[in-house]
Amino acid sequence: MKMMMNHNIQFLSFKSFYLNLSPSIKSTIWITIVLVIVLLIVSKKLNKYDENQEPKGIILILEWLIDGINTACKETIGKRYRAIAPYIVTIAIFLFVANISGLFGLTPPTASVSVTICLGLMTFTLIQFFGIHSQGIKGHLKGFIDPNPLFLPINLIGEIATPFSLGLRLFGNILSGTVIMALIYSVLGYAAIIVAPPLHCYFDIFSGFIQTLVFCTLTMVFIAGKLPEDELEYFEKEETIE
Amino acid sequence: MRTLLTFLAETLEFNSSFVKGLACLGAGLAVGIAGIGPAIGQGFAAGKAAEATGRQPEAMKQIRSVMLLGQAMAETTGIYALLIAFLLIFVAK
Repeated sequence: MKMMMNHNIQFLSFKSFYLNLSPSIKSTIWITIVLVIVLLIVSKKLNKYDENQEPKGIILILEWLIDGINTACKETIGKRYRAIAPYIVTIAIFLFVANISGLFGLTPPTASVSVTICLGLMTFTLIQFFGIHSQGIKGHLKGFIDPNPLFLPINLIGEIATPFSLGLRLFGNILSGTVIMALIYSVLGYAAIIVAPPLHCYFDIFSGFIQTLVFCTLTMVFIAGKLPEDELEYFEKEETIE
Repeated sequence: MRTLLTFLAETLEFNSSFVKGLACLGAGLAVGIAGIGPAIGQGFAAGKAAEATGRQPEAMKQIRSVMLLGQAMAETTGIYALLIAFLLIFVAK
């Protein structure tokens, strides 16, 4: 009996925990769940798909996406593009779905500063990891006093500002779109039915796509900045040798 | 002038609505002044892209994507000012 009561209390607290979350965190949870289910189904489909067949439907879209991101990674990162491309694809899918989720009546997760700064911190961790991985801890720390030790504070600030600039850029863009749409809906009332769709096209789809592109490109550029320069070129020949 | 100042000093109340009003004024100034820089930058990028397209029309696709990316970067400072404005309006009391 006592155990059951405990269980009951835990369940209630979980429910109240969910209800106390901010709307953007709630939509983050739902979008993540939906994406996981959809990608599971797609991966099952991919297992059945044989290479000689013509790709169609969602497999065609995925092929286009992964091919595009692989090409972009080869251009910026070079030899080690395989280590980073999966992260970029993950970020790109999540960010794009999150940015256009205003169309489905959700609050975009990226309109919450905690989500975007968290994404920025993930990229920051990866940047530091690749810095240490390619130059060793000593070489990485030496990079902070690059021209001379006087530049240490400037370099440190520049390094720490990276996740905040990444996160706040995304946050500001999506939040401004959300606020402007809310203003339009509250001012125009029923007339918003005519005015809102083109604005949704701009603020949700176009702006969301551009911001996804910017976030991914900046991630790739920052990571490429930590890699040694002779690795940054990629020759198509190497793949045929493999 | 002096009478105006004494009039203001006598009638002004430094209460919460005064603070709110100044915060909103600051928000407007922040967005208005900070909007100048990104506007110039984006216009410059668009102009250069138009020039490049005139010189090499076959590279239009690449030029467009590079231009959009550059403009999104240039927008950043304006977005920061917008964030400051939101903070002033919704957080400052």
